[in-house]
Amino acid sequence: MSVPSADNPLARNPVVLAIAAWLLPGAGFWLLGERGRAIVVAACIALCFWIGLALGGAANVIDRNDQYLWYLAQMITGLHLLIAQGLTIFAAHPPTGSKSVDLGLVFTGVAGLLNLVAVLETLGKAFPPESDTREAE
Amino acid sequence: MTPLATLFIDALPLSDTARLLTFLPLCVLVAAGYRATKVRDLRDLPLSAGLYFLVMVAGMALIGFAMWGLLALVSAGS
Repeated sequence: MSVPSADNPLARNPVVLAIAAWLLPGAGFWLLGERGRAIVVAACIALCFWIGLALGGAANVIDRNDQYLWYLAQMITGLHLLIAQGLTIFAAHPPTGSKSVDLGLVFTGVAGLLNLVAVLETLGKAFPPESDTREAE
Repeated sequence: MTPLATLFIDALPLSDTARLLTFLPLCVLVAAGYRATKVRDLRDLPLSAGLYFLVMVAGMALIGFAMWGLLALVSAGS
């Protein structure tokens, strides 16, 4: 198995690669030179997160006190959560008890978990296990 | 604040049917996003994501029917 990151100095450092992939979903694949994959992953995660936010509303969905487990999953979306957190400033308080809030939590949480898969897959492609490289040879 | 930003502030009022149907776009996004990280060649993505989507929807429908049946049984017994 070839190592696609060999020509990109940023992608040679696992910490930099992981942080880039976490902060900006799809960026890890982009750094590895897999532009098409990066665009599809970024689009899916962004759509999932922002559809969830539209369904549930920022004030209800981004709630680190009452929904801390969902918030943990949302944190994995990186910059998306930071932008959404900014939107909560404009939200009416207290949060409304709409039935759509659960949907919003699921969509935004799943977006975070999708990015977790993408981060791990990026690291797996950039730094394949020893056994994989030996098999390829 | 822009009208686009206001879209994300408060929850959308949805009917029960509309809320149920939102699982379809969720499945599409999960299938496409997950398979995009896994397929070797990106040209295989539409077929791979399509199959994954069908399996997810069928699985969720089965679980839904099973839960519905269980509820009906419990209701009939009590």
